[in-house]
Amino acid sequence: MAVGDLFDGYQQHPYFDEMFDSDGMPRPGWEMLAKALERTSIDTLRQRVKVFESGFRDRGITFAFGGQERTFPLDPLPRVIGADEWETVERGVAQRVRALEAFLADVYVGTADVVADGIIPNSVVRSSTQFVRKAWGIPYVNGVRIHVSGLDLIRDETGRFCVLEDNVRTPSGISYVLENRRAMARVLPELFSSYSILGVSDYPARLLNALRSSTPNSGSDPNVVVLTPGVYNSAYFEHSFLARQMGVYLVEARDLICRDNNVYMRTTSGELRVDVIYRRVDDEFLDQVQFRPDSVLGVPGLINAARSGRVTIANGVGNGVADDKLTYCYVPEIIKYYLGQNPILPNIETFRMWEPDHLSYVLAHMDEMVIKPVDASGGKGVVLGPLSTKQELLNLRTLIRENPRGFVAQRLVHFSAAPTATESGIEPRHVDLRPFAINDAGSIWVAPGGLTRVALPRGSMVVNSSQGGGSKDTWVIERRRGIDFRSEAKRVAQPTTESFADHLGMNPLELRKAVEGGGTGAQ
Amino acid sequence: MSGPALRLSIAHRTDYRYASYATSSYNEIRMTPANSDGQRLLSSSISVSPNALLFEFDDYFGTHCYCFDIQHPHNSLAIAANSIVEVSRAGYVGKRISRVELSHAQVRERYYEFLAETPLALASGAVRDAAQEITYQLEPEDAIGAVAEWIQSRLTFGKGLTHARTPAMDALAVGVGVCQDFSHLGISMLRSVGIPARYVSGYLFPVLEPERGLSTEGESHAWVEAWIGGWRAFDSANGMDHIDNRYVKVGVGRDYLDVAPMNGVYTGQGTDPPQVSVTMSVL
Repeated sequence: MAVGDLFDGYQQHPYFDEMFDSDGMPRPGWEMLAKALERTSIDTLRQRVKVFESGFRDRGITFAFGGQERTFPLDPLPRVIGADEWETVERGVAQRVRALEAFLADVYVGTADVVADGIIPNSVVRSSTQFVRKAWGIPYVNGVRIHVSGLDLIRDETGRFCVLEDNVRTPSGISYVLENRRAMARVLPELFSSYSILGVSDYPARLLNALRSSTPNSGSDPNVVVLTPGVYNSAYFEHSFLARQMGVYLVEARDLICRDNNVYMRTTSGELRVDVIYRRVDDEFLDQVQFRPDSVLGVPGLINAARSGRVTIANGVGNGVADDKLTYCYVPEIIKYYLGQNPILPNIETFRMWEPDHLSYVLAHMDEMVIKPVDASGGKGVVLGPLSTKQELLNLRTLIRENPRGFVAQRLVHFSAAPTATESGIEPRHVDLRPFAINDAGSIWVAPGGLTRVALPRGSMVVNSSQGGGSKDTWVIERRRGIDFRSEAKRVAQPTTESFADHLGMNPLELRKAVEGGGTGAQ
Repeated sequence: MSGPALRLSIAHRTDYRYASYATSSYNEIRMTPANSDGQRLLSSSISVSPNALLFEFDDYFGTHCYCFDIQHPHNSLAIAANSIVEVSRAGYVGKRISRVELSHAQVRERYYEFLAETPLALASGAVRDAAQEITYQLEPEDAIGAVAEWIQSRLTFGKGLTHARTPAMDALAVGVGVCQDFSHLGISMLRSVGIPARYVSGYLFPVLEPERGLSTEGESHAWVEAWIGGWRAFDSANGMDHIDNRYVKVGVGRDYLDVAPMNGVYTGQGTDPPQVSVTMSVL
């Protein structure tokens, strides 16, 4: 292998290895990583990992796993995405969000033409537990319901990015993206000296801008708040982090009051009117008048306040009908229907269990499939056919027969793996990608990179943080001005004697910009 | 069968008394007669004491709603919904499609929402079997009649043993129920044999011969509409094969919960059930 010691003996992944191509050569972009880490030993890496893990713990960047607070382990080896690949992801995510926005508007304030025109069955829309009839008719003044999205992508056996799941309710994980970048820059500065990495630190400012531009009220200074379920929520760190980064109030339900369809925040100096609520509370807990009356996380009257056009709830109430696992099956058609375009990012082949021929096929091939309950998230209840016992599959078969709408089945994709620091050296581990996109009505901005989750146990394909996954800093390499990317990529693939940092001729100021991510920060 | 148009005034009053007081209260009310379906809404108003700002909208199922909140301590809450409506029904004038047509996939798709089970209208295996048996080979309209008859033989009208949120099967087990229970049971049985059915909330003028000037205690009422090519209404709680001009429709839903007359939350100490009175007069 034409790269440094660290990767000597690395057994690349037999399907799609993120770093090495089938000839064992580093893919475009990765060559630089290999070079930069040439003189770094695995022990040094491990040592540094310990340092930033304890830093995460000290700062409370944790999630709940099996009843314990754990850090989300950050792998010291970043994942690199080339500029042209990234452009596909960016365009594909934006396209998908745009189509799902049109779909939500159609079913919540429109006449559900998408159903009338036979694109998606009426029963799929109306049977979704996430189709919120109480949200019907709520206006969104700038047309945005998906202020923030976090689609889950994987790369299939050929390296093509595919959409595994849509997530347009309250996707979490962006705080890891921002914190991972900071940690990497501090702990492995040598990596940043060889790269020009697109920055992610714009995110809070972009989010704030999108939230402000969704205000239904006049006035130049809309009051945006972040509504959190509270300190016991597994994503509380992220809620407080985003509020702090945006410079807005972090509130809990008890801090808000609805009066005459206006929403006010109780402060020590009196009540302050609220224009936009970035809520991280699920629909069913949001308003005791409309949903669960026993909720302690909700604000009575919130839904009708939104309906009256005095406050914007972001993301939109009822968005879950768009990321329902059944709706997912129809998203390629939904894209064609609303945008007249072919999907840029394909779906994973998915079987619709309520169609008899699909059902019988799945039941005959359960041991080759991934079967997911429709109404669960975080990887809960997902059954990997090849790893299940006969008895487990028999039990599942009964459940599917009782409730075919309750499940979808997908072809088991041997998705890509990237080199990861493990107890036994650098080994390939499966990775997915959750790019975060912000819709401010003017444009859909996809934060470069996003969250790469990695399945840490050898052979595991479960990347969820709630099931013991870790994460990687995700780098999108900047396309250099005046240089055709393709020719650059070709050149990088050739062995070169000069270090890439020299090659780029980076000055310290640019380096700092690369490290900080560039752009403007939040006020 | 429906007689001349009937002009009715409806005064629906709801009184809550709180043990000490409520500090805040949020409510959504569905008490306005529909202005369609053989009904002409001539006037309607809602008044609330203590005073509150009212906000109006039409919900997902097309029912007219008012909502309001009260944010200061109050020991009682009174809601008065007054309306005048003219009812002139021509009996069922919709299409009557065949059993076979009703089973077409297109129909089942289109009316999916009124074919799916809900927690309040969920037929047990035994009730499904009974529904299958009594409607076997019957055309849809006759199936409705068979279901209504079956319900009347199993359920006796009686207050106090069930409440608005009692599932149909629980009421059936007791053998006694009110109009909600008759409706939920009918809906669950019809849906189980593939006939779309929905819950109707409204009012009923209880005297069979409504004479001008007659004023009487009326009631909030519920009945069923089943789809057989059009929405065909019946009221098994009163043994009515059709609804006549004495029935005033407010709105429809999958079950009671979609169209409850009063829905709200308050902060404060416990309250007794509200005092509800409906006064209906023939104008």
